[in-house]
Amino acid sequence: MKIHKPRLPFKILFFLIFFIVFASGCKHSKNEVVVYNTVDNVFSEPILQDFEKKTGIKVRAVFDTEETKSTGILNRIIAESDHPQCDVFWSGDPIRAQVLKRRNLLAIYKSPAIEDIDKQFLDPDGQWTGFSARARVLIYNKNLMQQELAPHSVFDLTKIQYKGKVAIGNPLFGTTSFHIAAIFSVLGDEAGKLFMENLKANGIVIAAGNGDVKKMVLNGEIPCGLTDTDDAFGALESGAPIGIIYLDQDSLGTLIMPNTLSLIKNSPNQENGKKLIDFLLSRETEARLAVSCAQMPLHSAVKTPDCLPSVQSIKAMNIDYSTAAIKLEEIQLFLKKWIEN
Amino acid sequence: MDRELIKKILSALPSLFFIIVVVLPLASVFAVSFTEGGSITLEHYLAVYHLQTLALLLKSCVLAASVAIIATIIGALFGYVLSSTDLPFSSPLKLLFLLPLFVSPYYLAVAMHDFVFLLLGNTRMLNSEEAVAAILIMSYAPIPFLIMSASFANINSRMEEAGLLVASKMRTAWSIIFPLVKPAFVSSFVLVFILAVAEITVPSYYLVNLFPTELFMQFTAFYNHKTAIALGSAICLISNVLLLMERSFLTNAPFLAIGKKGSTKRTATLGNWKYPVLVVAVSYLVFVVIIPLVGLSMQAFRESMPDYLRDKSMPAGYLPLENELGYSMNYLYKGFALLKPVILDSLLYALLGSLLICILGFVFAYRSERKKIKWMDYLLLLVFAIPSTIFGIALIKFYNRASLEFIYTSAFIILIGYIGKFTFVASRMIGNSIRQVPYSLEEAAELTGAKSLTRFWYILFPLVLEGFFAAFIVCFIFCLGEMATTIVIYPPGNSLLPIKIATSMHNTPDGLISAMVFIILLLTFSLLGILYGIKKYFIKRTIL
Repeated sequence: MKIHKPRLPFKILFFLIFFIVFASGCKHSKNEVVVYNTVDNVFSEPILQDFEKKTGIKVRAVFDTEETKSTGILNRIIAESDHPQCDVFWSGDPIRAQVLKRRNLLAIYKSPAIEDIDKQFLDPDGQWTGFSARARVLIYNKNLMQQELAPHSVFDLTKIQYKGKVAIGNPLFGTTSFHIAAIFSVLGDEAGKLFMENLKANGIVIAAGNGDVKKMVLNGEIPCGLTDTDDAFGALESGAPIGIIYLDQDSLGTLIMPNTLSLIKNSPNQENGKKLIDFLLSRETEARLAVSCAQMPLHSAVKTPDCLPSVQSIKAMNIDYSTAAIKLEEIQLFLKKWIEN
Repeated sequence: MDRELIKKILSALPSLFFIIVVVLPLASVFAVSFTEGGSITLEHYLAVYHLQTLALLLKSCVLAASVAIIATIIGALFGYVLSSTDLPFSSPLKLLFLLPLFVSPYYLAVAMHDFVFLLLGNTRMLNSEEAVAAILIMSYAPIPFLIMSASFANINSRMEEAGLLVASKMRTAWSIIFPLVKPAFVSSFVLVFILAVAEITVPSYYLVNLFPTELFMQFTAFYNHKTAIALGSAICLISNVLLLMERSFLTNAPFLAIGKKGSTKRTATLGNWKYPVLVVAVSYLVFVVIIPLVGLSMQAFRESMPDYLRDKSMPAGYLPLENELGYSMNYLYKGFALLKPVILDSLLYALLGSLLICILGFVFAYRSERKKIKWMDYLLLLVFAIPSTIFGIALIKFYNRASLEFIYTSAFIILIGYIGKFTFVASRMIGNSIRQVPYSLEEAAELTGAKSLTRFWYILFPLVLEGFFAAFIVCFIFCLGEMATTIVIYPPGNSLLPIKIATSMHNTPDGLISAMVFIILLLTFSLLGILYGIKKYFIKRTIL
């Protein structure tokens, strides 16, 4: 056996490592803004790139994943709170902004771009601003259920004819949890708990998330389920025989969930953060999000695509987002037990 | 300064580096979990360690042990038949067997969900511990396969032949082969157990309540970091107890001699069993690899649907990823357009990360196997076993400060994440290789006056080069697919391949996601091909 000295050029490799890593660290520019974003990068990244083109301000974005139930960056903002890195938090719903608000991590910023947005979608303290909304809807598979026989109210879901026929996402996470918190805040705790127990008694099927509810209904595995409009229109886009029902139009109303924008307190690029918020709140951005991912514009002047209902045409559930977010924290232990038992 | 002292300081540098860069951040968050409002308290630990949680922990351990045993047996069997027998088509089968290692268990769970629906029309059966175990076995079986293959390949054929002269095949296998591969077998079990016991995404997706889902819930529903850290400590504790048990189990493990290097490798003849074994191997791979791969390819090569909400008056390029004519592009093309900006960075970081990991892993393995300094193994395991989100949060808390911002906001933080997560794997794999090199070779060199560095560089390193390379490949695959930690720490404006996919998963069509996964598989395979070519050339030049 003859052995030669290995000829790995270690020194060169080490220099290479440090050069490349340092180079990647030196990409930062002073004229920049950092945005943490829970909306899919496919839809939000082109909009952020447009902002870069228009203003010359470099956008450095962090995105979130469904795998972490879109709470990865929220946890990151909380962990970074001693030395904030994020300037703007773009959330797909108001719950997360409320969590940060309750932890006193948000700055006050009232953008001039909110003139024709309904006050219901604005934080009264100016710590988050709503735009481009989704709604909680019921989707049904037209091959398994006729529209007139489908549930038209959340309370119908506890009726015997829908036993084992309805799916919802895991109520501990995401917009499903917020939907239930909203129902609790409207009905009160006792009636809310009774509603949940009745749902369980009626054999409600629990899926991992809204996307899975969509998949189950689309596949015909279950006749109907609760999900968000972006998932519902995604199912329509795939050509599936899906119908959409805006629930409780004669009673409670449908839960509307706006995207929210917040400026992070003590972040390094406050001025650029404000510019980005103004840009994202523009009518043009809302119009683009309406088409790319079925988000309903909240600016009354923005045209809604023909096949998407305008937010004004839907009877919205009359809730206070802050109260509902607080309620969510209160009922989470109940929901955990509800799931486990 | 004393020469010996300088030597000692130099030899302690890698351990110091690991402790300062990786362990210290973790230690600081653990310390914080014992405080509340400025005073020391056990509140977070007492709040979570009650009978119900302990029952969940037990359930998770039983599930992880089952996964580890089955995955190790499958890996060992395939490792043996594909590397040490005359089974036809063993090379392509080996590659196929490794495939699940390239995708995260979460994607496999999603793919299996779709497959079960196609097969049975119902997926509710997947909401069970058995389904979680099945996914984890499929995901992790390639790890024991790699470790056991290397171990079987390194058995000195003369030992086996000597046994066959006086005993039956079965007796030889039990009395000679099994004791020789026992350390690799145990290492495989330990690695898979730790990965399985800390796995969060699969049980969450299949709605199975296990200990890690409890921890996941503390992060995602309650945003309670301290309680999550308290829960994570249990996984670390169990993993280290397992390492202690492994140590005592392997205390009397036999010394393994080098096989390939110096003697010819023995290839067992399967005889009449050749084709039945081939059928079993192919059936397993069809179910675990080929069906999901075909499903993935079919979706990836589909033409994308027209955008439902598109208005004819909208200009071309108005929607994301439209071509200049305003039409949606093929999913594969779209997927490539999305991934293109991050391909180079991802490959570079994974290559650099795995190189650093293997260098550190080599040093730690050498100190553990040759110098019998074992305490570092426990630290490496502790970081490996800690749930990734906790590790990520620890890195944020430690590095996110003005003085260390150059690390936190650069790719250094990604490399630190990789080093923390995978140095244990490299150290174990390289350690197994070192254990197989007779110490007498180094002693002989020492007698001729060779200094320790010379002995290391001329004797040991060339002889463990194959093990080093295997560890490099495994770490490269792990780094390239790592997301659980990097998603929490990746610098704003940067992205990596798995992050790019995961951050598109919510509303993006399944076809596009499949296309992106397909592209990553192709890339990984191509790069592995290049690396194997380099290895072949390099080892040929080193050992003749």
